[in-house]
Amino acid sequence: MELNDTKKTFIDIYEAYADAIFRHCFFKVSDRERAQDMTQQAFMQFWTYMKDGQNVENPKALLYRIAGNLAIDWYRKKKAESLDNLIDAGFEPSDSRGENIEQTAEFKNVLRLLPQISQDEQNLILWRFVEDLSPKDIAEILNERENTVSVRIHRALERLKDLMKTS
Amino acid sequence: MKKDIVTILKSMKEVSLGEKHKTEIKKHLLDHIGAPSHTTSSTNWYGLLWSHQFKVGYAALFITLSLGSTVVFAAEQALPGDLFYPVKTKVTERVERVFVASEPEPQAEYETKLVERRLQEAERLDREEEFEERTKKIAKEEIEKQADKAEQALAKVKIVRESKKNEESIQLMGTFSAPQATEMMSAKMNVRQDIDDDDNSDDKEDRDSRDDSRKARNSDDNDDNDNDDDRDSDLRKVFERHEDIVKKLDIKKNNRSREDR
Repeated sequence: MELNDTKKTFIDIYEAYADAIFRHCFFKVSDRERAQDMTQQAFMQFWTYMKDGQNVENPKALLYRIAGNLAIDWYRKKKAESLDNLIDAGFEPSDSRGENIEQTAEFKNVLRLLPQISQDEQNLILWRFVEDLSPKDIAEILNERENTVSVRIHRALERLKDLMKTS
Repeated sequence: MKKDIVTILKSMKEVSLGEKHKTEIKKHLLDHIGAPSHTTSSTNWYGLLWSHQFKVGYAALFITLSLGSTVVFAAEQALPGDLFYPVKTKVTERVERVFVASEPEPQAEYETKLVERRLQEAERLDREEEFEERTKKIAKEEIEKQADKAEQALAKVKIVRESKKNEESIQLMGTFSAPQATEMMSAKMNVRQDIDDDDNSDDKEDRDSRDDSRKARNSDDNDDNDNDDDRDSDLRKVFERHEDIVKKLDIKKNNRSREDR
């Protein structure tokens, strides 16, 4: 592929997945600015793959993997501040885009509970229910069997449900 | 309950980067991959067309056209002291200057060309024996003024060349370790010296082949250096000529005052 074609493809991929990758980062780090930086960084790393002529069969999967690794690095560098502390300090996770109060409260509640399940479970929940990825797509990202992924999604959702009941 | 939590999770999809930030990141990425961004290029064109330089150009062009082709032609032939001489130096040449590329080297070349033109004017005046004290003063001032401009333009060229060399060394420092980079830079700087040293070698064929391979390896650098040297020597010649003609003007002035006495 010519370099100019590669650049064009890269920009098309950015347009298609920028919001999804940002969301993924946002729910991991609970900070809009950090999530923006992380999104930019993820696409820069993705460009390095493309530029070096590496075969990118599933850009979405690769981008999620890069973003996931960036989030893990971030967690390692700085033990995640609990969302409770962030909210107490005035952090507002919702974009306040006209949702009703009840919905915003639930939204906040889910955000508060998400860090209480494992990273893998968070990913499964976000990919399946926020990003609408099919179990097959998720299986491709994780390099696992579709059935295994379906079972794990179900378990992750049950865990979150239990947390909601007790909260 | 399951339905509820799924609904809540689905509502999370509304969280997005936002158009502003999406465009901002896109711009950074375009810079990173080295692709021209549409916004940047359109701004540049607009900015360029309405830059101060172009505005002066438009105004000068308008005045030049208004004055008409006769005036322009008359001005082209004008010599210091003539009625239309200021039109030549302050309008026509200003318009020409606007359309010279903005890089320091073409500008230095153009300013040098103007020094030559000033000298030719002085010579023409001298040949036509119309060198009155007043016109001589104007001619000399014009030569000095133009020589200053050329010198400034040349100084700019030198500054740009130096900063390019520095950038190159910084890039090398980034790519290689400090001792490697220093070694490469000094190797580049010594290439020309090596070639000169090799001229003293006894074995001419051997020397030529080594020269060829070295020149091939460093062809870009040598081409640049050669071009730079050519331009420097052109400018040097102009300045030498300028000094000669000023001296000549002074000698003639002394002769005439002696004759008058």
